[in-house]
Amino acid sequence: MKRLWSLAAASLIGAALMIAPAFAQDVTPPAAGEGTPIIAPNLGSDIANLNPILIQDGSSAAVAVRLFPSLLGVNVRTVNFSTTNKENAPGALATDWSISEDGMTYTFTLRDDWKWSDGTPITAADYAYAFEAIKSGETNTALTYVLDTIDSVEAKDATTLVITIKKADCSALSNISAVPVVPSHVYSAQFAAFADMNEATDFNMNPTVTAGLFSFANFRPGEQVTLKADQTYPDAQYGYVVPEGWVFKSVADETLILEQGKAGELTTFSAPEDRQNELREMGKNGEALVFESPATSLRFISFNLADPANPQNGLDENGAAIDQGAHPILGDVRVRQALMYAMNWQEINEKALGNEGIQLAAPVLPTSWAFNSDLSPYPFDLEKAASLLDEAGWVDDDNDPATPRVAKGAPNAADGTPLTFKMETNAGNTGSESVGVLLQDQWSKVGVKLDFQMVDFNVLVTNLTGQTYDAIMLFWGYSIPDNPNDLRSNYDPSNDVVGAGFNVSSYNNPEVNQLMDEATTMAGCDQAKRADIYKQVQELLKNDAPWIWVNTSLVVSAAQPTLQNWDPTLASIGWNQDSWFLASAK
Amino acid sequence: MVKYILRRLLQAVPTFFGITLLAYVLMTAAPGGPLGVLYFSNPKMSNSQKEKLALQLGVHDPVYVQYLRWLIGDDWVRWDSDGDGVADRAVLSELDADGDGVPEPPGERRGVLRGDFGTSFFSKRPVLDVISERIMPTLELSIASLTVGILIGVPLGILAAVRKGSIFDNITRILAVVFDAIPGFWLALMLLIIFAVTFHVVPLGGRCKTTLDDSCPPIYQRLEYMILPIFVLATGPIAGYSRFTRASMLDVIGQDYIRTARAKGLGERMVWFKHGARNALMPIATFLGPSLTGLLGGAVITETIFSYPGLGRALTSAATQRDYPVVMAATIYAAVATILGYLISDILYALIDPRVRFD
Repeated sequence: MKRLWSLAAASLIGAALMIAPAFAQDVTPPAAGEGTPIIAPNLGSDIANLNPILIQDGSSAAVAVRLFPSLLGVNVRTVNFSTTNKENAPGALATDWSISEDGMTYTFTLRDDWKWSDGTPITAADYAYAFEAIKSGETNTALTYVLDTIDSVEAKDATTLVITIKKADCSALSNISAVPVVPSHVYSAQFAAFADMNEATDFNMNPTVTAGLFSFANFRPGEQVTLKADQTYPDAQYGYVVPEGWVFKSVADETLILEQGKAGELTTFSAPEDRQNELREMGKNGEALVFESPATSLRFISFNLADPANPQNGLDENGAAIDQGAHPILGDVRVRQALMYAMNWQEINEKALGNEGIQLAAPVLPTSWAFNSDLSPYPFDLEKAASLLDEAGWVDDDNDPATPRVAKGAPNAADGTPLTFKMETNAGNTGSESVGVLLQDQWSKVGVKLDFQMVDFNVLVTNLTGQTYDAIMLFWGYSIPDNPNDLRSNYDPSNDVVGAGFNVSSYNNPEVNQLMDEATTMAGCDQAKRADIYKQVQELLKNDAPWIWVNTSLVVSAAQPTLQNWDPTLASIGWNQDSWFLASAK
Repeated sequence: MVKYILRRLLQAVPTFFGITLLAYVLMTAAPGGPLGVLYFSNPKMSNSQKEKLALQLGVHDPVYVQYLRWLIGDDWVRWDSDGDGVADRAVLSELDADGDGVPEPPGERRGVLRGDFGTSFFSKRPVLDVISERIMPTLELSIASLTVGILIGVPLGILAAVRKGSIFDNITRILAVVFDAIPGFWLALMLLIIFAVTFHVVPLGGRCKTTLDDSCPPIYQRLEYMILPIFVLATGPIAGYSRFTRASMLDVIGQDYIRTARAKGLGERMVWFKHGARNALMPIATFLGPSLTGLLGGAVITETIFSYPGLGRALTSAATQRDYPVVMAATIYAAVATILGYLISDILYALIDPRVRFD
């Protein structure tokens, strides 16, 4: 079974990668900046801030990544951090880096051929300035988490950056790369104190000195953000940026994105989860270029392991675990495992996910180097589920499966308590709504009564972080490149903070914590050895079942059929967008 | 008349405050808040940063403190009495609210009553900027649809009354009921599917063509973007005005002075349109106030479906995100539009009917 599942997952991903778009490389590209502007959809809210130190929303981040350089690149083929490389990791500053023997000092060598749009060279000081702004505590930045890793940053000279970290951390590059690069000569002239940048709305919304594929042109609220080609960009595939500009067009919902794509109003587009087959069909008919890849997010059901009537943090001020009480039903691992066994995933995939789902056994995606392919999800086994519930003290006292079981010797619930709990999801997500309805039916077959509710997203997140819920179904996104250390966000007791942290299950397994520490601090940071540790972590998490990792999915991206040089990869759809152009109709 | 308007405006003041108070209480009483979404968007944000954010937004304060801060600012909550730049006095709040040993900075907000509408929780931009950017698209849709509603609805009502009992009258009445009954969101989606998705005769939403420059051309050059939203917004006024006008005309036509006009030997056209229609328009003026309010309500749905970048869409987004300052500013806009709408109705009523006195 394990092997079968691994093969199925591998073939799904393999298939996804094989569906590559066709190119028309024989078409001559337009001259610099004369290509038709690329129009991409923006489904999120308006941009809020284009100061990379202060950005807190996805729409702004998508714009800023085209305006500012990054210290490290991401190799679009291997999906790992990389030095700058025009072919596979364009748009980064580092040409080389080394790590000291004790793993505490990272020394980066930066390129010297890239300048800000006002002609000032980009130097190590531009990174150091941003770090100091974050470290100051004066700015409204969301990046203070990098201070958990980075101790100090020193710009030795224009092209040498020395970063000292607080403790050996094999995932340090993730946090190091999160620090932006900003034109420090402009920022320091503009702001006498770091705190001043918080209120500098005009400055933050109209970056005049940038260095990227594009420069900022204008912003029409609720309509579009416009960028214009920056011909000083040094990593352009043709030696110049082909499209005249880039427009993020505000579109109200995913259905409109698909329809606007079909109507040719968008250059790149996508489809709602349940209409992705239309894109595949368009791809077959030559009406669109399509690319399938596994999503970088998963749908989960989080179980509250602690007493929802009295939410408490996981650790006290001294780092000692707090007794948070147990959830009367879900605090027992046998009940959670029973729910896993009672879930008929094939039916869910067929009826709720349109057969687009990829089943997961643990919270590491199949595309990750740390993925445990030997670990198979819980099989659908109603007998096993029933037996676990019996063992946990939840009995079917009237031999009527239509009525919920009741507690009889359950460790956390008084005898006679019915086996019923509430599960919430965000209203409007049709996939999750269908999954919930199916689970309601499936779990009723083992005497579990699920009170399934669809609620407003704000309410859902408030209940989730407030830890006042029984079970919640939602999505969780992963970073690129993959960083398995991010699992700490959801399963480490330090992030079990009521109202703020995302270990919302109040999960605490000392063995998992220790393994996570080992994988992070391993001398030499050998990836294969670290992967072995993370595989153990996944096995423990699967057994403890604080979450059900319901599925990840295949995502279909599309572009107009005449778009040239569209070469999406798992790491990035638009890594070479400087070379994109629409071939003229013949 | 000036006195009348001033008196009405004064009477509107308590109404206005009542609306804002009610709106604030209802908004903050709704489950969920802005922090959850902000945290979820930045899951790696440190816990101390999250606490700082909550403190800045003030969403953990009691509702009355939040309302007072919105209304009259917070420079009286925490202030610097000795001019050294550090807050040293506080009421309704701790000097060191986050307990880090350093007093919080003095309050700088001046409140709505002093022209400071605050800053958006999400975009961190002044709310007045956010609202002013979005108000023009909403006004252009509202004014256009109200104009269309009056221009179509009133003649339809008059003609229906003139031809009472005819096929035209019956069709008009049925259509008025249908237009009134059709939910705006359904009609908008249907029109979008038929005319944009299926026949491609109009764009799939938006306000103007996507271009690299910063300009949106004048209305007459982008009518294709406005036709559908205007039609959806105008259906209510068309139905309302046609029914009001018809009923009013039929009422007027039975009056003695109409009989007198006929007895004088005036032609039917003169009787209907000069003596009848003019008097029949009086009750219609009272429909203007609710129309203005209804248009903003309709804009919330219509602008969202047609991706029209107006105040309605901004309000939808702000309400979803629990962006309280933006929601409150939009509420003020709606309240002012409603109060002014009714005031204009009353003034028009008095102007049309000399029997109505301003006192």
